[in-house]
Amino acid sequence: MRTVFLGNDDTLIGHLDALPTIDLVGIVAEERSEVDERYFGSALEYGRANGIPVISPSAFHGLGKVPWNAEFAFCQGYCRKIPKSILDWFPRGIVNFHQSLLPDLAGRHPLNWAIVRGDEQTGVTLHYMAEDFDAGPILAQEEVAISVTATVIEVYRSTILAGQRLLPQVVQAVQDGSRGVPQVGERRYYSPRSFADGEIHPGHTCRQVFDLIRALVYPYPGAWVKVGGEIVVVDSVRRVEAERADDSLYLKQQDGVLEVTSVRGREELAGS
Amino acid sequence: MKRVFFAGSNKAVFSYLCRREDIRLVGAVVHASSAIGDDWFDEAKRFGIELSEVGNDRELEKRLNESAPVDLGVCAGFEMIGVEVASIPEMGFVNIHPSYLPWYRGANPFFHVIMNGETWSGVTIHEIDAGVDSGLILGQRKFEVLVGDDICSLIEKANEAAVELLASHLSAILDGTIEKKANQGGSYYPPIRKRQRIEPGMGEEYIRRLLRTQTCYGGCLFASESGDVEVDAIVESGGRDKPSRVFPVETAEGSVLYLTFLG
Repeated sequence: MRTVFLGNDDTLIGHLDALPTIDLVGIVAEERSEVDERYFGSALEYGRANGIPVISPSAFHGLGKVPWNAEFAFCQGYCRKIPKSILDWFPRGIVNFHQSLLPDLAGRHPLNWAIVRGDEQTGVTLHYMAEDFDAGPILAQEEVAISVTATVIEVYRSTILAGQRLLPQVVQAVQDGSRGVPQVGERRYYSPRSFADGEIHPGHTCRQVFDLIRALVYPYPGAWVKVGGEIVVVDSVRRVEAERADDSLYLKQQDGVLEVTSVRGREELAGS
Repeated sequence: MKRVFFAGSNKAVFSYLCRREDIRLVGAVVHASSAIGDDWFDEAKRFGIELSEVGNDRELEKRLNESAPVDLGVCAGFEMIGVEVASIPEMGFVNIHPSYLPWYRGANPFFHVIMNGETWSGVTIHEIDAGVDSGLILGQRKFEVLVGDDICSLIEKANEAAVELLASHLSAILDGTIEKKANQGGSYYPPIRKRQRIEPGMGEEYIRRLLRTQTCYGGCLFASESGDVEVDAIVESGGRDKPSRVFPVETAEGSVLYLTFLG
């Protein structure tokens, strides 16, 4: 099956490429920062290392016809919305890897939002792409646990392992002509996470602050608070009985006091 | 006495419902795509139950209306029933799904349970809604999955568990006192539509599991030098059997497995 990979991460592309029925004919990806490459890999580098042609998303969207005579596309963390005209290029469709149990947590940053919500489970969904974001029929779905101390990077890795496991069955289903099953249940769409979403408010409970921090650990932009007009990105806190008269930074929350035990350094701030 | 209607290809459940004395089985259908033996019709005749084949929801609807009034529909091993038809019986339809929901929603849970190396699975009775195996859970039972289990033995275990589950839960379902549980999360896996094929370069454990999933379908396919053959077992070495019946395959780990067909 002549296949195009859409997306920047390289955590699934190798598994896809290794499937005997997949002929990976091209990659649509772009250069990414050194930090993102360290944490999520680079599909573009995978292409370069394996002699697979790579084009940028801008070039791909401007093509006007399907490249490399491909019949199928697989998408992981693609940066742009794919219009109907491009969906129609691929006779076997485009399958998207989404890190939530759809239709819950549709949208761009489902893992961050799942942790911010304090969820103890999330999951992965492999589904056909439709015009609306994360709305197409499901080919496979698997729950992934979120422990109460897990960071978004740890949950990311757990979801990737689930995706790697599901990939062969999903590709087989596509080849068999499976149409998938409709998404059932309440659709909950979350907007892309922004820096403003990381602000720690006094109205947050201590638990909510913990969750915000682990949802936005490095290389994400972090949970932050304004101190004397300056933004301080908080990487860890501990609960204390009361504020002490020392140099530490304390956060007075709805249900207690937190001592900031680690803030993000300048170098990391520049990278996140 | 409550009037129950059966739809499906699960003979163990059908036979159990035929014999239950506190209900009246008012009709039964199998899907036209299911291959059932004459024993089904003999059983139906013995208990005075009209058994017929249906090919779609419209035919099912017709049969349900002919059997009216129906209090509850019980489905086990049937195609998906549309919500409208599922709501014809007074209490709707329940489905007996051969996995411990919400895990392993979808058409072939046994295949995926074996491939994922699970050590237990189960059977669930749930309400039918618009989704795939996603209705509220009415009852569940677990069973062990052993390394020696193949798809045939898992089907037997699931059938046994399904009958036990009906024995313990059907009365409460029928009198409306059953406790309902949410059916969210878990997993859904795609249906398996084709014979599975063993290819060189697959992992050793993957091949072993794949063989266990295909025993009741005549084994896996393997491309030998003389063309496609069916294989269903691994022999210890290539030297003990006639070379023409043993097919070596190199695994991802570099080991060689000797495939054969034991039948």
